Amino acid sequence: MSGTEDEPRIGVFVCHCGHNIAGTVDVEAVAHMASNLPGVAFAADEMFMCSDAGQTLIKEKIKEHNLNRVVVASCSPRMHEPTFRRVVEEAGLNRYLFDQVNLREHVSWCHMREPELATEKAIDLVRMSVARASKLQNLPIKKVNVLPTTLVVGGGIAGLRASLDIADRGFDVLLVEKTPKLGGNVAKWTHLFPSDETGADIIKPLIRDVKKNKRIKILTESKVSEFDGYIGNFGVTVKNLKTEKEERYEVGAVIVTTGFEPFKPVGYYSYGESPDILTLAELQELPRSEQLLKISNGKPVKKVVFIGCVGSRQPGVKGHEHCSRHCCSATAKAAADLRDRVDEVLVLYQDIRTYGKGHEEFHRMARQKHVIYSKFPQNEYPDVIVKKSKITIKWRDVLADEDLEFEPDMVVLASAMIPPEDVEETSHLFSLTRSGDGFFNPEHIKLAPLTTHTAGVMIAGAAQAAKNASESVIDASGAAAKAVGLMAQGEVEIESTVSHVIPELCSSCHTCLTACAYNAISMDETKDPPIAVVTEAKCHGCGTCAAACPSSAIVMYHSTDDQILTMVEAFLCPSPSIQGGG
Amino acid sequence: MTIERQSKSVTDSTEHGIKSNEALVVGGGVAGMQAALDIANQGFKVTLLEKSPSIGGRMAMIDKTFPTLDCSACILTPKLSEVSRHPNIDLITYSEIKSVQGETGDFRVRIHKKARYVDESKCSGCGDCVSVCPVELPNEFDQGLGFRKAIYTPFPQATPNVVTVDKKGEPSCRATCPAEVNAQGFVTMMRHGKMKEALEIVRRSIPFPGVLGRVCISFCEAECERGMHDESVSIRNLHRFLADYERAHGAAPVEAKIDKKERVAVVGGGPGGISCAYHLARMGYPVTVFEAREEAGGMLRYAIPEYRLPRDILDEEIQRVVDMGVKIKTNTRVKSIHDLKEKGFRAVFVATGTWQSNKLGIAGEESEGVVHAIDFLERVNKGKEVEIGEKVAVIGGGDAAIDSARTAIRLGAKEVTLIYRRSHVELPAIPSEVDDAKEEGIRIMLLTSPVEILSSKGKITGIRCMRMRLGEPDHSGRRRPVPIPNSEFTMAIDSMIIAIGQSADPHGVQTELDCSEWATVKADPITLETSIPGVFAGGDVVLGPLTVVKAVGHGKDAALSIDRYIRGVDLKEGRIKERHRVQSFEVDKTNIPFDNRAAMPKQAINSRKRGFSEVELGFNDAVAAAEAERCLGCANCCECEQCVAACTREAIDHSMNDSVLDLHVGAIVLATGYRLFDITEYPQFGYGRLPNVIHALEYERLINAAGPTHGHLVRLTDGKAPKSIGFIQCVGARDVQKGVPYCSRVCCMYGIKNAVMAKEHNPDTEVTVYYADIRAFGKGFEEFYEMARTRFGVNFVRGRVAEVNPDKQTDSLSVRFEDTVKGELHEVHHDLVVISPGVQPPEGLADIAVELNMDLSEEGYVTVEDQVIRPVDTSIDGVFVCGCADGPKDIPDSVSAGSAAAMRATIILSKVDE
Repeated sequence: MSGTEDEPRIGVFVCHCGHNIAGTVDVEAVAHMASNLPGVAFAADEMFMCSDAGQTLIKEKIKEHNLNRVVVASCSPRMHEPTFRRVVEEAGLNRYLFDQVNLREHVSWCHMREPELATEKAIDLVRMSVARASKLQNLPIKKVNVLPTTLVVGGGIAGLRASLDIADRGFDVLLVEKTPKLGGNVAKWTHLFPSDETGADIIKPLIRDVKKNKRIKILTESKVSEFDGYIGNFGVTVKNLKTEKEERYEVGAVIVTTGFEPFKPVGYYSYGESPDILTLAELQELPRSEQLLKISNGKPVKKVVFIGCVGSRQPGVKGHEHCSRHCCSATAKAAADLRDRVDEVLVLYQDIRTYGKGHEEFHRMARQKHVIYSKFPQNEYPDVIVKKSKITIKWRDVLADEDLEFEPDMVVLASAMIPPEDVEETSHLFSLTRSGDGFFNPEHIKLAPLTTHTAGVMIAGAAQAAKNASESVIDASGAAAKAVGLMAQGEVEIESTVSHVIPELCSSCHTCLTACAYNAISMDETKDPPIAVVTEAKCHGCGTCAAACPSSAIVMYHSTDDQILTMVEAFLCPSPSIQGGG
Repeated sequence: MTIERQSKSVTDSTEHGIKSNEALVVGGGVAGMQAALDIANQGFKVTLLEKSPSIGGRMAMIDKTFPTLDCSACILTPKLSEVSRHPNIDLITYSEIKSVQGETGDFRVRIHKKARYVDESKCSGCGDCVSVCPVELPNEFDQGLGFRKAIYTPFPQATPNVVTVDKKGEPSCRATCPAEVNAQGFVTMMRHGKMKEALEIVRRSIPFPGVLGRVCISFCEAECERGMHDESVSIRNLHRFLADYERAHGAAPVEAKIDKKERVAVVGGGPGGISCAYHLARMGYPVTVFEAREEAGGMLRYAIPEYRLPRDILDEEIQRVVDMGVKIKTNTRVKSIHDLKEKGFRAVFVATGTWQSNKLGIAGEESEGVVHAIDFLERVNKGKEVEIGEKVAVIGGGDAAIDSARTAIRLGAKEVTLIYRRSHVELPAIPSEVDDAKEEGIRIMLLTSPVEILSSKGKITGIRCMRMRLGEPDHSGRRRPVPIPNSEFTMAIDSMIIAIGQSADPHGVQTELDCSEWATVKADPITLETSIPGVFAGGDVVLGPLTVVKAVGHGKDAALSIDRYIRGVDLKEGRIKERHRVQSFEVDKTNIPFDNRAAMPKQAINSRKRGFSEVELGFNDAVAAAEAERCLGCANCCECEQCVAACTREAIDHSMNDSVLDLHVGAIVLATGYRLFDITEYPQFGYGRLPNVIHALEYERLINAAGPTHGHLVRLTDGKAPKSIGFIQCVGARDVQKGVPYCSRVCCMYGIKNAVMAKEHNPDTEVTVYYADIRAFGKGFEEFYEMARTRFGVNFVRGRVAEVNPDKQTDSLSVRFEDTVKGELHEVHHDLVVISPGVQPPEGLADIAVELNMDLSEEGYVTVEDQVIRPVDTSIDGVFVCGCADGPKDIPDSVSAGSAAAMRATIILSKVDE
C-alpha cells in the first residue's frame, strides 16, 4: 500500500442524469460550489457521466489539470463505480483514488418535491466526498489464480448439463450428488411436460454421457461437508454418506444445482387422509400403466380432480408466497393425458399460467379433450371431504357464480416447488443468501441471474427459483459458461477494499473471528500470542471486524477512520478555510 | 418411444473439423451482449452484429424493470461499456447478415454494412454536429414520440458512441436536376431562416440562383414528392427568393481564390460556359472565357426577354463569376481549338450553343414579315427598333415561342396566335409562362400545323394550316401529330415568328471535333470528353437546343472532368450515379394537411403588356418561409453539410457507400430479439386513431426521465396528467385468429410494472388493469403482483375489453368491457389507455433462417431440437439461440440463455484444429 503524497488535485464531475438529477438538484450550483472547495482543481456538470462523452471528459480533465483524485456525483455506486474506476485507471490513476457521490437515489429521487433542500443536501454530500477524496490512498490491484476444476453440487438435470458442458469444453468437474442415483426429480417422473417421454428416458443419455466422460468425477451418496477458500481456490471436503469417509478437493469454481423438493401438502385438502389424494409429483412417480388405478383399492379411476396452487401463491405464508411456475403447464399436460384414460377430469384453478413455449397449446389441448376447468375464488379454497373412503369436493365456481360438488375417485394436488430440506445448510456452506421463496438469491435478479454474491459460486436451475426442466438446463449451460470463463482466464482480480490487522495492536482476543460472517479471519498460531490475519480474497470489506475490534487493531482499507472522520468534519464545519476537516 | 434421445455433444456431427475459433453473435440486445461477453471472457474472439446504430436492444428503451423497479438504462449501461471495451469483442453496428455458407466450425458469413456517413474511428460522439443539423425526425428510440436530428445517436449512452446520418438516398428534386441543385438542402435551411447558408447550398451547384430562379424549367418541381400529395413545392421561386434576399440585404464581397497554375479556356460565354468557368474558379483554376458577342450570357441575354429576366440580375451573377477571378474576353471569336491548346491552355471547354434557327421548310418562308424567333428576340434584346405587325402568328410551343409571342404583344401587336402541332400536354414551355401568355391575350391554337405561307408581292398576308390529331408516340416518347385530311384552313396575318428550334452552326469552331450530322459535338455523356483529349464540350452544342439548366449542369460536369484531367485522375471512376432515389412510398405523407403552393405575385396585366419590366415580382419573407415549410424532406438528411463544417475531427463523409465484410466463424449465436405485435390489427381499441391510446413501449418512453417529456406522465393531446389510466393486457397474444396462439410471457409483468409506475408518478391516479389471467410466474413476480394490488392500490379486473371509444364531452376514453368474473358488462372512462402488445418474431429473422437453411416454427420463431436437454441448440449444428429469437422471454431468462448459448458455442470453438 503506497501513500499518495502529492497535494490533492481533485476533479469533481456532477451528473445531470438527463432529468433524473438535474430535474430536482441545481447541478450547476453544486458544481460551482465544488469548484471553490479546497483541493479542487476542476469542477463541471455534464448530461450523462456514464456515457462515453462523460467518460472522455473525465480522462481529458485528468490530463489537462493533472488531477490526482476524482469525485463523480451521480448515481448509486452499485452500478457505475466499476465504470468510473476503470475510467480513472485508463487515465493513469489508481482506481481507488475515485469517490462517488449518490445524488440520485439518495437525493433527487427521494426529495423530488423539495428541490432547494435537495440541492443543499447534494452540496453537503459533495463537500464530504471531496474531503474524503483528499485522504484517499493508492491500493494495490491483486490477482489470484483459478484452479481448472469446477465443483457441481447436485446431480439433477441442471447439474448433469453443467458438468457435461464444462467437461466437453475441456475442464475438470467434481460432481457431488447426495442420493445414490443421478437424475434428480426429472428421472422420477413418468410424464414430463412438454415431452411425451418419461423423465427417465429423457435423462438417460445425459447420465450415460456424464458417466462416460473422463473429466467428470462423480461422487454419489455424498455431500459437501466443508467449504472454504476464495474465488479460484476453494477447498472442498466431501463426505460419503454411507462410509462417512471424508475427502478433500480443491476447485476453482462452484455451481450449486441443488434443485427443489415437491411440497408435501399436509393440512391442505385432506392430504394424507386418503391414499387417493396425492400430489402431482406422486402421480408422476406412479408406475406407467395402461389404466389409472385407485391406490386405495386398485379399481380403475373414472373421475379425477386436479387442484392448482397447493402451497403456492399464499401471501403472508413464508416460503409459499411465490408462484411455482411449472405446475399450471404440468397439470394441463397431465390432465390432457389422463383424459384419454378416464371419464372425467376437472381442474380447479386460481389463474392459468401456461406462459412458456408450447404451454398454451397443452392448455388448449386439455380443453379440447373436454377437461373441465373451473376457477375458484382467490381466498375461498375448495373443500375436500373424506368420508368412509369416499371423497367429496365442494367449491365455488367464480365464472358460473355457483357452488358445485363432485365426487372424484382421485384428487391430484399440484403442490409447490420448495427448496430441499437441507437448503439452510447449503446456504451457510457457500455463504448464499435466500429470498422470500426460500431459494437462493442471484447476484442481480435481472442481469446476473446465475452468479451470486459469493464470488466464484454460481447457481442454476431450481436452486434459484421454481423452474421447469428446460429452463433449468438453460441456466445450467449458462452457469457453466461463467465457471469456464473464470477457469479459461486462469486468474481473477480481487477487491483491495479489505480489512487489515495491525499485528502490533492485536490483543489476540478472537473477537474478529466470531464477528466475520465470511470466515475470512483466522489466527496465526505461529505467533505468540497468536494474532489475527485476514484472507483478503475471502474478505468482503464489510467492516464488521474493524467495528468489533476492541484494540482498534483493524484497518478497513478505503474506509479508514481518518477518511470517515474527515467526511464528518466536512459536514459539520463547512467553512472552506478548513482543509478537508483535517 | 423407439428412438433414443441423444445428449449429443455439439461437436459430434462435424465431419470436416473446426476451422475457426471465432464466433458471431447476431443481435446486440441484452441476450446477444451476454452471449458475446461470455464467449469473449473465455478468450475467444467474437463479432457482435447489430442492425441498428447502437447495441442495447429493447432493454435500453424500457424505463424500469420488474420486479425490482431498477432503472433499466442504469443497470444496462455498464454492460454496454463492458461490451464496447472488451478486447475480444468486435462490435459491428448498423449492419446485417447478407449470406451464410458452410457448416459448424467453418461458417463463411457475409455482412452488409450500411453506410453511416461517419468514420467510427474518428467520431468522438461530442454532438457538435447534432446541434447544427437542421433536420428533425421522429426518434424511433422514443417510439416516434420525441424528435432526433438526421445526424444522431439514438440515446445518450448509445454504444458505440458515434453518430449516424439517416439518409434514405437522393430526393427526387435533386435526382432530376441536371445541375444537381440540392433543393431539399437549401429549402431546409430556409425553414430555419438561414438564408445565407441556403444560398451557399444553391451556389455549390450553380452560379445562377437568381437567373435560374426565374427561367429554369424546374424538372425538380415535376418530380417533387409533395406534388404526389397536393402541389409540388415552388422550388424555383424559392431559390429566386434567396437571390433576391441577398440583393436586398447586401452580399458579402466575392474574393478571387485562384491558386492553381493550369489555365483553362472556355469557348462560349453562355450559361454552360459561365457555369464551367465558375466551378473551375471555385477549385482555384485560372479560366478565360472567350465570347464572340459583345457581352457574356448567351441565350440568357440574347433570347430571353427582359420581362422574365431583368438584365441587372444576369449582369450581377456574371460579375460574381468575374470577381471570382474568371477572365471573360468578349467580342472574341475563337478560330481554332488547337490554337488554344498551343497558347498554353491545359484544357478547353466548348459551349458555343445553337444559334441557327430551324426552317419550317414550307412555301413562302422567305416572305417579308416572316422572322425566326432567335433573330427576333436577339434584336429586341439588343435594344434595336423592331417592327411587328398587328396580327402575328408564332409557330412552335417551346419557351422561345412563348417569349416571342409575349414580346410581340409588348411591341404593340394586336392579335397574337401561337400555333402548335401537338396538344397542351406536349407543350414544352414552362406552364406558368403559358398561363401568363394566355392572360396577356395570346391565343393558343393547338393541334395545328402551318402548311403554306401566303404572300402578296413578297409580303406575308396569311397562313394556311392543317388540323392534326395525335397518333402513336415517336422516338421522343411524345405522341406524333398526324394530319387530319381535308382540315385545311387559312388565317390572315401580317407577321409570323418561327420558333421551331435551333441548330448548331455547321461551320462553327466545334466542327474541329468529331460531330454528328447536325454539327453537334459527340461527347461522352458522363465526362463530356470529346475526340480530342483535354477538350470537353457541353450545353446545346452537344445536346441540341434544350434548357438552360442542362447547359449549367454540363458546365459543372465539365469542370469536374477538367479538374480530373489536369490532376491525371480517371475521368469516369465513381461518377456513374448509383444512388438510391427515394421512392414515393418511402415518404410518409399521412397526417399532412392539403395545402396549395404559394402563388407568385405578378405585375398587373395592363401595365406589363406595355413594357419589359419584370412580370413575376417574387415572394416576400413570409410567403417564402411558408412555402419552404411545405417541403416533405424526402431523403431525411438534406445534405446541407452543416455537420461537416461543425465537425472538428473530419469524421463525417457524405459520400460514403455501403460495404461488405466477410467473416469466418466456427459458431453462430442468434439473439435477434422480437418485435411488438402491431396493435392496429385490433381496430376496436382505437390505436392510431385515438391519440390517447398508446402502447406499452410508448408509455415506457413517456415515463422515462430521458424520454420526450422528461419523465412527466402526460397525455399527448393536452399535456395534462391523466387522472385515470386503463391498461389492456393480452393484445396480440393468446389469440389463435391473429396467428399468435402463444402467451407472450412478459406482458403481465411489464403491465403490472407500468401500472405501479403510474401510481409512483402520481399516487392519486386511478389505475385499472384489464387482464385475462395474471401470469406472475417468475422469481419475485407473484410478490410484486401482490404489492401492486395491496400497497399501490392498482385495480385488477379480469375482463375482456370490447372497444375503446372517444368521449368528446368529458374529453376522455370510454372503455367497454365484460367483467368475466362477475359476468357483467361495464363502461368505464379513462384519460389514457395503455395497450400491452404481445411479442412476435423480429423482422429479418426469416431471411436469416433462409441463409442458414433453418426451419422456423409456425409462429416464425427459431426452433430448438430438444427443448429439454439441449434447449439452446437449433436444428443447425453450430448455430445456437438465445433471448426472444426462439420465443418470448423476460430479461433474466434471456440473459441466462445468452450465457447458455455462449457455453454451447465455446465447446465448438475450443475444438479448433491446430
